[in-house]
Amino acid sequence: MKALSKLILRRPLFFTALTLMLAVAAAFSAVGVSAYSATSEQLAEVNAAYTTVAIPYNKEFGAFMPQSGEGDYHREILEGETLDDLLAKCPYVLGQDKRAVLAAVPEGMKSLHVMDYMTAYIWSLYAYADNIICQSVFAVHCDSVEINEYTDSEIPTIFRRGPEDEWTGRFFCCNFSLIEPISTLERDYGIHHKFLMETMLTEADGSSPFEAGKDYLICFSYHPDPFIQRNIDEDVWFINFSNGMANPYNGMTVLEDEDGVRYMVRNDNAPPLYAEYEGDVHDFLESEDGKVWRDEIIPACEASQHAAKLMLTDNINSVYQFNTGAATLVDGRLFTKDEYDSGAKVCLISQLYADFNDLRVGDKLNMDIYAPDTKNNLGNHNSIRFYADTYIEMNTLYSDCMLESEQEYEIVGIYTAPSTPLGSYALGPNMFFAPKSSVPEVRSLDEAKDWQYRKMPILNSVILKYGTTEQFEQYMSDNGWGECFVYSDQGYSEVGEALQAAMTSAERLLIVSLAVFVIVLCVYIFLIANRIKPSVRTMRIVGVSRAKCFGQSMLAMLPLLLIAVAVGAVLGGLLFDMVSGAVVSDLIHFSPAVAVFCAAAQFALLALCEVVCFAVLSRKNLMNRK
Amino acid sequence: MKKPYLSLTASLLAVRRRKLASLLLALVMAVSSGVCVVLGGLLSEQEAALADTVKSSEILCTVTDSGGRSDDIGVLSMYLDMVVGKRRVVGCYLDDYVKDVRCMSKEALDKPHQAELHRLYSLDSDPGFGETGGASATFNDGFDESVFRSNERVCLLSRELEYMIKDGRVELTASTGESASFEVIGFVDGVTDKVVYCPFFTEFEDGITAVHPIFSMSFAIADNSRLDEAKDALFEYFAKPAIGSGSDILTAGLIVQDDTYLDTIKELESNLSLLRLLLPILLAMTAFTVFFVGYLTNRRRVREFAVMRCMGQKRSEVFIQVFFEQGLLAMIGCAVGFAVGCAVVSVSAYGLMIGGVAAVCGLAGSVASAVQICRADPLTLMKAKE
Repeated sequence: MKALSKLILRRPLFFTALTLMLAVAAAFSAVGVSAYSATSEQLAEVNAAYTTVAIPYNKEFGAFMPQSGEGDYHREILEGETLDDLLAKCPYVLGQDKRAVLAAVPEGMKSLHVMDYMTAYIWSLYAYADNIICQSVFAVHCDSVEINEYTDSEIPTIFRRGPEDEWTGRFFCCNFSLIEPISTLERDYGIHHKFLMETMLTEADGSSPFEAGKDYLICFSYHPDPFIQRNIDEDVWFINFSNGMANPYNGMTVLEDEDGVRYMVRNDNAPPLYAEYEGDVHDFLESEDGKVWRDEIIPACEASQHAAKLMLTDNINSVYQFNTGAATLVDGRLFTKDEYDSGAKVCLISQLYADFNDLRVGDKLNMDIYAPDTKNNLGNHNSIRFYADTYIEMNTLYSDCMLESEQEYEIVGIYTAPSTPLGSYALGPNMFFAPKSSVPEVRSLDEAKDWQYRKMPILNSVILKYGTTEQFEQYMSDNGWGECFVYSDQGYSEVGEALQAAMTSAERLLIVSLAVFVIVLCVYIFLIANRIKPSVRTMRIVGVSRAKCFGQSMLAMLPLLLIAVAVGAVLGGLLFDMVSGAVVSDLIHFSPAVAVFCAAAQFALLALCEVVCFAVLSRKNLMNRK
Repeated sequence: MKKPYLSLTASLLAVRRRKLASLLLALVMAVSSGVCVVLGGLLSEQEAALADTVKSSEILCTVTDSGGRSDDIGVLSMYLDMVVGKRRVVGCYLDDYVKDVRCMSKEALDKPHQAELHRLYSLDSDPGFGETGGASATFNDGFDESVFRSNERVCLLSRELEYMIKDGRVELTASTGESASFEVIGFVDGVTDKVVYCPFFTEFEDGITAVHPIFSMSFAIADNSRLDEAKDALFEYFAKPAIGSGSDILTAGLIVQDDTYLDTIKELESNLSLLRLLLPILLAMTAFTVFFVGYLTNRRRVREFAVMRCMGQKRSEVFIQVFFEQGLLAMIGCAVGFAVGCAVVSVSAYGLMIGGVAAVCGLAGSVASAVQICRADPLTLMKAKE
């Protein structure tokens, strides 16, 4: 047996105690590392429950995205990526939730019209927000047509093509009598028999689209709101052509006659909004001329009447209403990370919609999904400055804008939120939420320059690093985008200090445990060196080579290190496991991987110190020593 | 060396002679006491931060109808009476548990025509005054938003209704036909509609307390440390909303938005528990290390003590010398450790106490080894090998 190994056997108490001391230090540091690791994991989970968001906020024009400096509205909408570029470079930004709002038509479900849920008081503009479910096709008789020209001096500057742009439009004021409703919302809100429509739409030659005394099929959107109707005539409904609500220039072209008076004509590829017929309307619908109405327009109207809005998000907590607590769950849960990542077909629906359709958490919705032209609209020109009149408006759901059909979504949560559909950040009762990846086609639409989120504040959230709202505002302000965002952090600012304290504790505990280990290591090396030095010297005197002395020293001590580290790791692990088991938390648990890593690092450090120590001891010059 | 000061001198000489060992012992003591001070301080800091969080977190409670609808809920304003202390006489003390009450009701006015009356318990009860609502109020001199807590017959008018003012007052007629003159105390910009804002409890006729259907209502828990107690009290009067249970003007639902808060507090408390449980374990480990170092460093000095005994020193004198020596090192180590610990964390009585325990453990190690040496026979000690 080697001399130094015998030395250990001759002094079992000393070396056992030494090994035990080292093991305790190793256990201490293992506990410190485990506590740090567990706390980091725990706080990361807690942090994940909070989302700090900056929401685009246009102080002057609530319906639109904010703009920098004095730029005009049109430029900003078209060059929305300038804000994107700035945000991409911002060091305080974790990411952006660029949402999309689509139309979903769940099989067998009814969407809510304002008349279905506004019981206390009815606002005039609410009805417009539900325009999509009021798409109708009626057979009517034209009673009279009147031509009016209006100079729209009331139009705000930002909507004009230039600062001096004041235009005159030719409007045809048409009165109709009902022959037969062909397709309309099932609920009977008292369909009237007289209609009034004011339209700029003309025939290709600029003449009136309607002629008094003739019968027509018309596709329109109505507003069964007594407040609006009261302003006109109690017996007359005010109606609009349905197509082009969301984008008046889609499917139509604005022309000017020689006097500079503007009018609109339908593009060749756009679906018709009216058709003249003779005889029975059903015969017309069965005919070749009525084919487009039978196969396209009426089914599109029927789909629209059952449409809900489907907002796709990568982080529901970044939605302003959810982040501030204005929207909250009544039943079920929000989406999980896995569901966002995998694009699971799960959705949240509003309490009003669930109640109206007798739906519960766990029910399935079989939905057709459409991407119609959509935009934020305003109740009227004069109210552009205000938020209250803003609403999301969608075009009729023609088959060419269908993205997916018969997608089965499971309801995982039912939320409650202010029911008004008006306001830049309002949800309305017909709003569903689903993970963005559940409709993969939307990702490709994201590339489009004028895709929805570039235009609508409700579809944008900037997700910030925790506690950096002030720095972010300063950064944006320095780049000309000051006061363009509002902030919300789900109350993180109130718990942030405690989370920071917990993290600081974990860090300091880690430092302290490592410091203790290093100190004990020094003690160990000091004691070992003192104990082994005379023996090494004796060996050297009797002619044992330096290399052999070094080798024997290492061979004798390495097993002690191994034992100490192994005992330390096991002891630390057991202690931490016992402690974490006593703590009621799903997130605090002993990680074997961390313990193994810690033990390996400890062993490497100890071995390195021993190598240095024994190398120095073995190299002592015998002639200079007593 | 018959005098105590001679023992002290001998101790100092020993410290000086055994520089490395002395330094080592002082260092271990410094680290140990510092560790304990730091850990105790961390615990105190974390407990204080948690207490602050519990105090400052706002747990929002949204009042709904019994089906879970959160606006246009239509339940009667007796629920507002309950949470603002107007029903204490009948034994309802919910105002003890809530704060920041927001409540609004809406009703149509006959005059001004097509105008709406918003009864507010506070200005922010109307979402229009929220951060993105676009509305802003300007009060005349002598008035502020605290007036909404009163039942004074005063109002704010949207700019559209400015033309209705006569002598600083406006005549309002409710849809029920009651009329009253309200003092105009300011204006609201940023709303397009004709809206009159008045305190929630303002009535059109003196001496009549009407009940109004609530449009929306919310409040926060006043003292989060009594959250369970508050919830118990609140749910004596409010129902838990259930989808499909319809609406009833006499039954209000309540959603207490405490999930995230409770999860966070649970995790922070568990983290604190972890620290609390780890602390004694780490303290025991530290104490063991200090004891062991003290014991081993003295144990190697058996020859030295044997010689002293052979020269006629009493056991007590040897003990005193060892105790002085170890005590000095422990004092220096502890002082350094306490100083470093206090620099790293804020001083806490608990930290100092367990730092002291660590120092005592270290000293106990030295005393134990000294006692062992003093008790031994000098001849035996002389025979003892290195």
